Amino acid sequence: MTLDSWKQLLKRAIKNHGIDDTDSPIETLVEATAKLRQADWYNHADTDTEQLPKPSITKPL
Amino acid sequence: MSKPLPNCSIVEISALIKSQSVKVIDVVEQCLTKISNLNDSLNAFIAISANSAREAAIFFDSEIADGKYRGPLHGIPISVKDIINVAGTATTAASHVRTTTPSITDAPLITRLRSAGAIIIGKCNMHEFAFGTTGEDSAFGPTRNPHDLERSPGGSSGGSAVSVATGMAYASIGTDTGGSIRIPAAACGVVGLKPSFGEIPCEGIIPLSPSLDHGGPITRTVTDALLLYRCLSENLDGNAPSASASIRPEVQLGIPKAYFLEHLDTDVRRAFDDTLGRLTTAGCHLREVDIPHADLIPATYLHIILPEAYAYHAQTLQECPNKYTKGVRTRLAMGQYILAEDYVRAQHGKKVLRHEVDTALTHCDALVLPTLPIPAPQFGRDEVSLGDKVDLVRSAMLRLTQLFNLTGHPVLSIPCGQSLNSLPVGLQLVGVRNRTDELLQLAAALESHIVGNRQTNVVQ
Repeated sequence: MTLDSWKQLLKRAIKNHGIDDTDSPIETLVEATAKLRQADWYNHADTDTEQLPKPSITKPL
Repeated sequence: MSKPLPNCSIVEISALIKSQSVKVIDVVEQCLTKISNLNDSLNAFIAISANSAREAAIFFDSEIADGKYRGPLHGIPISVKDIINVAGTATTAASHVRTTTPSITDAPLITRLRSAGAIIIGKCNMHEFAFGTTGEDSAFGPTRNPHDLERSPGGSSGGSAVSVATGMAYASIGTDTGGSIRIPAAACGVVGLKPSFGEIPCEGIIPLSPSLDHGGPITRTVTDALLLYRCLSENLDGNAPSASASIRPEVQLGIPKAYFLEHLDTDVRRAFDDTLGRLTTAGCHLREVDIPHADLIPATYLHIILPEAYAYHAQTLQECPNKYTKGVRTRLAMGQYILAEDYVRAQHGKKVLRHEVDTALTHCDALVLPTLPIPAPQFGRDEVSLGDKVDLVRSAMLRLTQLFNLTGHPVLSIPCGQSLNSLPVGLQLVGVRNRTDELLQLAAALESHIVGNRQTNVVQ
């Protein structure tokens, strides 16, 4: 799911929960998700545990 | 027989109890009097176990009279965050969601405390379900900072830290999922320990995020934290730890830069720099260390804690959403929509960050950094300015602590000075994974240099 599609889904879903004034925490979360998807750490040497497979898509979705 | 010393450490009061210079019942009564005098204004306790504490005190006094001394926790009044099961009391988690039915059994860590002779004096107020850093969201109203009643005591274990800072208890047991022991310890001017992940059992504690949750003590001194840690991790040998450890030569302390020091309040920066100066004068060697992916810490943390917290609360969030406070409910609801792919990314990031902290510690005895980038915030503020950066108060308060919940390293927060308006500032010492005892021994040797000229001006 693209970041923008997910953001719209998140906004609608939280609104359906009946919670108002959530722009700030939602923006914070979406910014964090964008950052997480851009992380370069799949290219780094792994840790003391098993190597996770590299994703087939290397750019952010 | 002398009266108990006001606000002394466990090590000090236990020596007096052991020598029968003070009675346990007098120690307990002194704490109950403090609670009676202060709790209306500070709101640190949700429940006070006066009768059971007095009964236990009489029993432990009789044991000493019969020649049975259990060790340095014999007869010591301790408070417990109200997210931990204590038999005979409800575990409210400071939420209207919870019932008021008393727990039937103690959590294992409470059993360990009782076996060592500790007396549970009451259950402490907290941020609802431990899901917040200020203590403002509680079904029982906010806990107040004893240094300034208009400010947060930090959270989520705010009532625990206040109870220790004001002498209402000699120590408290809290939980820490992103900083919830260390943050209030720093904001209230006491010591807080988050041990290595998994060292202290979390059974009998309402979970927030099981892969990040830790239990641990809040105390007045590092040596007291060592004492409680050894009890909680079942490594207590019956003797009080020595408080007079000396600094061994060539102590190497790593200072993580960039992300960790780039957005600090002016007073916090001054207190931190002054403390590094004292540590250098004391013979410690400081070196810069790098955590290459530090800027990804908040994103990684958020994508683990939100869905894990939601998983526990899914049913009650559906059945009675309006019983949650708004802030906690919002975070839980967002957790429902974290995608599995992002949770997996965050889990990988967790491993990478753990490896990077391990690497930073390769040539260091400990890492040193502030606990909070700001002094205790005023109630009602959503945002805080740090130089050119405006951040949510919650994000700012978690900024320097949450990494070590992801990585599982042991961390101690120790008071290290004050702001210009006399609010406490805290410093974190981070140790090698699964070597919490070594970290505490190092911290005990450094404590006087970290604390400096300590001044306490809490409400009395």
